[in-house]
Amino acid sequence: MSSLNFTTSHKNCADCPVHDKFSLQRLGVNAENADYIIALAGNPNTGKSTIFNALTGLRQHTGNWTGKTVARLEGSFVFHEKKYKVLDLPGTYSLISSSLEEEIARDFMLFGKPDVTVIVVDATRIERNLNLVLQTLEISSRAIICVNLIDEAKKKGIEIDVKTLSRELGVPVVPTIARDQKGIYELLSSIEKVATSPEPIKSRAFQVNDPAYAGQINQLAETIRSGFPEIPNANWLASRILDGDKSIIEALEKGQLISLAKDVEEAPAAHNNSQTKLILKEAAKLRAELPANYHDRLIEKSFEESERISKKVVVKVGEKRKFDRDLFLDKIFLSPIFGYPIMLLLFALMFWITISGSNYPSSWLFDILVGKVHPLLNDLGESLHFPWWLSGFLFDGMYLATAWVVSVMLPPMAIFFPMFTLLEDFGYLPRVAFNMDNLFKKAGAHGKQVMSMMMGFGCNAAGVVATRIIDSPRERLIAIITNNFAICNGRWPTQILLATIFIGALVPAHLAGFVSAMAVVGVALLGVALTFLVSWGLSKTVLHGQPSVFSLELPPFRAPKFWQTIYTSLIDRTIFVLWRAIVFALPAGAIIWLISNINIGDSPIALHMIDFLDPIGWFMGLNGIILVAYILAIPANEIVIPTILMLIVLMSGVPDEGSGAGVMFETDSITSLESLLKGNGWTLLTAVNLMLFSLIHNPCSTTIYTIFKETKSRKWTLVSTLLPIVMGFALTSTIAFIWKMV
Amino acid sequence: MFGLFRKKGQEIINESKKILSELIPGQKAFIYSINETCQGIERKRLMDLGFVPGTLVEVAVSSPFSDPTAYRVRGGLIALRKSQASKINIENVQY
Repeated sequence: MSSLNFTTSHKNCADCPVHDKFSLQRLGVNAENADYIIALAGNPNTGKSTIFNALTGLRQHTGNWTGKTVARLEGSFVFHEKKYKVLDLPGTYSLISSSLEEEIARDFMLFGKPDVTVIVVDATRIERNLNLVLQTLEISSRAIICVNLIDEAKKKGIEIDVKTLSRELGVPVVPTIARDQKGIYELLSSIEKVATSPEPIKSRAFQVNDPAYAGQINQLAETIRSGFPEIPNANWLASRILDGDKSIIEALEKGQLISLAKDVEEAPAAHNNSQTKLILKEAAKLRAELPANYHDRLIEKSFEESERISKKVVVKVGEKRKFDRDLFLDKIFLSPIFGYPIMLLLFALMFWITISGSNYPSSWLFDILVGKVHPLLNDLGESLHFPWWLSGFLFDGMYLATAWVVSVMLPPMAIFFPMFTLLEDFGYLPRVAFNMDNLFKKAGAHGKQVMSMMMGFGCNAAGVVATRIIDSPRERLIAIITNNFAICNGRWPTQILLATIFIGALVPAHLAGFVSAMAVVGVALLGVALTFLVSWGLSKTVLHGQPSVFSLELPPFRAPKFWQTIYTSLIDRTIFVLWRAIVFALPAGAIIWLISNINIGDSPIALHMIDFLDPIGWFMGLNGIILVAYILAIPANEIVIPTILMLIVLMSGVPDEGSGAGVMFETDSITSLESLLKGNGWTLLTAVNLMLFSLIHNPCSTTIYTIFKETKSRKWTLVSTLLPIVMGFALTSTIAFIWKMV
Repeated sequence: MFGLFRKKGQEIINESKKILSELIPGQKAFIYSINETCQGIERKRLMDLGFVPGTLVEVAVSSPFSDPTAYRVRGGLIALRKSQASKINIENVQY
């Protein structure tokens, strides 16, 4: 880091943006095409993302996924011919408690120097929100307060005196109802005014401080100023260093603090070093004079100030209504009698809608992508005189695998994720976490894990991303590692198919449907049981002693905006997951085609692999074909069955089945599928063990990649990948062994 | 029998101080302090959520197994586990 050279291109030009392009780049934000950079900060559940949507409309995408993720979402808008880039920072309660989200948000405001920081506050919970506002104003002098949800506040008999609030804080305050687009124009005008102002807007120089220790802070601030005269907010830095803030001290040691100063070339390293040592030495001496509860005093002071301001600006209008709707709903949703039945009913309904609702669009997509477009592509190849291997590689390999994944995956996700998001926005999901926390606590996990687990039933990669809501590192890691035990929608078809052919066949015809459905539910429940078991095991062993903290806020119930929710969940979750799946399916298709068509000796590579893996497969009660299919299908569980079928045909050479070497296919009828599988020697044992192995094996590559992105740790990525495969191997081998004994 | 060894002024503390986890839904109290055994990130998080000395807390609703419990504090509705609530000392309980 210290080798980075900062040069600043603009000097004192009134119209130039003030953001630091180079620091932004280092933080992973591309500011090239934007005139101004806007950061959105705020407590969780303040409607921050609604403000984001209202500002950016269609021009948004999920945040960049490189390195430390600065923002969940990035977007842009044009106002009066200037282009603004908006970053949605992680929602936090504080900026000085050193959780990961807080550091990300703070580092961005500090080093990225956004042209405007918009702090979104919930009008109904203003006192707690002000705590974060005060802490933010300490480091950001170009800020705007956006008081959102003023309609909800009014319903609760609360009005906010915006003028007084603005006077108290010294920054513009804009009231909004973002859901109804009210106040957005005023917010835009305010953003423009602050962004284009050459001088920082005047903020009442507030510092969260205990006056009793002003002496120590001033003394250290003086030392900082004499070493680095260009650095603004030296007092704030002094306070942070005295509080033992690790990330700030680290930044000081690495010489990054100098980039806080505008228009300054990096100081010579030697100078930097000796000054840093001086500051740290002074800090160590002064810290000894401070009480042990220095941090407590800071937060108490901050809340004292919040309370004082809040008393001035919150105006109670009329009598508070007698009927508390939220409390009434909570008494039902959290009741010992109705709590769990309502939860089970809602989730059952959600899965039923997903499964039954996606059948039709799935087969429709399949007909188009595989039935119509695939032959068209082959014809195109022929008319262009492509050699057979080129069309094979491109169309039968890469295209077909991708088309398969998209048609199986897209419809259920496009139905499941919006429903999930609707429940989330309504405020119900945090209540589920609250209801379930007792169970998860016993497994050493966090109640919020229920949300990432449910999401995992849709897609594990999305489930892993969803663990971000768990702000305790240990519980988050547990949720990430065990997410794979929630059986994703790419695995449902395998379960349903095998249960129908092999398990339904064990009982009389009129019971077959019910029994096979129960078998699938049984596998899913086994997954839930394993989630708890493995969570418990991890918390007792490898993760023992990792830091853990529980916090769960139950937000007010809000009627979700239907279309807006559908739109954002499509952008946020469906498109994201689909894109990653496509990226991995393309090369997988290519490999499947290649190993089925390149011969070593007189048979294709695939057959050599099958021969090699057959003994292991036998040991696990499976066979070589299944194992090869699972290796090939690491990128996407959706293609396991088509790959198995293709390999069976490739091996046995059944002439009237299949579509050629390396070409995945599906048969039209269950009976021909049954005869194909049984002809290959499949038994009830094969089916049972395959159902289990489909539940307990490594996550797909999309998920593995996501785990790495989220944990930034090779070790935990490896654990998440290998643990289930070892467990799956052990379980299936044991069952096979007992089966063969009996 | 502890009464024999009580020092002056301590009496009130022993009489009216309770811990947050002892309250039932509907009851209110003021936070007196956070236990010294609760340190580090856990203490910081509790305070960030608004559980700072002098704050009025109301028990809102319990989960089916009565742990965790949701508390109304500084305008927010925050769920705490029993192990956390038992580290928050309260005074002036309003039944």
